[in-house]
Amino acid sequence: MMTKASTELSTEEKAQYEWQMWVDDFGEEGQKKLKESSVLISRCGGLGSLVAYELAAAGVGKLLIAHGGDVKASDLHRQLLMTHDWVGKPRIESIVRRLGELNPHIELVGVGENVNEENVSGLVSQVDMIVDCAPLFEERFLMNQEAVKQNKPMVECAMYDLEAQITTIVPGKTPCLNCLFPEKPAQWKRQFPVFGAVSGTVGCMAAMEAIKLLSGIGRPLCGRMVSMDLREMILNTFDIKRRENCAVCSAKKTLKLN
Amino acid sequence: MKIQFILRGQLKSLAQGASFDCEFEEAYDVRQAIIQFASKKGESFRNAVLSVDNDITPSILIFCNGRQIYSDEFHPLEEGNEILLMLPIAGG
Repeated sequence: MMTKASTELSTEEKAQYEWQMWVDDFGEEGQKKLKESSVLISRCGGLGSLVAYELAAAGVGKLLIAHGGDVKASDLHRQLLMTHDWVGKPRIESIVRRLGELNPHIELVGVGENVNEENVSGLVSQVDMIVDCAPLFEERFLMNQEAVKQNKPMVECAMYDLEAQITTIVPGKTPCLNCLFPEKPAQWKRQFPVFGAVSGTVGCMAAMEAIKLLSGIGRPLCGRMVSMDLREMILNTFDIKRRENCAVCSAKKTLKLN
Repeated sequence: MKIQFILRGQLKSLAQGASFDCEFEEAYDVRQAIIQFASKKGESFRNAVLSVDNDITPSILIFCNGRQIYSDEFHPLEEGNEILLMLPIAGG
């Protein structure tokens, strides 16, 4: 998954990323790796807005963003790439415009539809990794299946109320989403209580996970899950394990199919 | 045997509390304790945690003293264990 660092940075890029290139184990080589990398973000709402904003700011070379629908007033407290003047207009236009204003040196590809059975394979094939920010488990399961199939890592982040979860899935090495949640949870509702600061917190953490994976620094949350309760400011990190009979990623499943 | 249940996410609302101390007369395992606990916490909580055949729904995260347990695993309980339950959450 790691990309070779051959892309040179322009003088302007070096100035723009100077402070993060001061990070000891990152440096100019890490910046070049980010420049050569590509990330799919689905969707770009409360979580995805922060993920996309931080990855654009950090200089990830290509962001592929899938998000359908028009901006609603109820988006604005958390979906920080949407603007008040764009209510009623396509979200993806607001997203691409604002990211482009932040960083004109990266490639931004906006897809004005959500991940679905028809487009998931093509979307995942275009990138090095995925950050899953979708509100529906149907979309999450689709991306998980495709990530496993195409052997692409996926950062999985989620929120509810003042709580959030994040883990990093590396196919064949860590639990996949289907290991953790083999069935669509019946009680999950599309609309739920949350603060923008909660989605922003975990969105920034997801962006950091992506930067770590792409540049090779630090210790990503592979086989670990962070669960946070921001009401009490309690953060727990749990080891999580693969499900032996997982219908998506287990070796037993492969044997069964053969 | 005293056990503490810690709830996260939607389960807190459904049970109207984040932490519950429970005492079991028998030596339950984690699975039995969760079924017993869920059966006493009202219909909404029960429906979120248990399936129609009174088994634990597989899409629930269970940690006993920080160690992950899948719902179909046998894991004996010890005095003072803490069982954390989390339902799946997503984005938006």
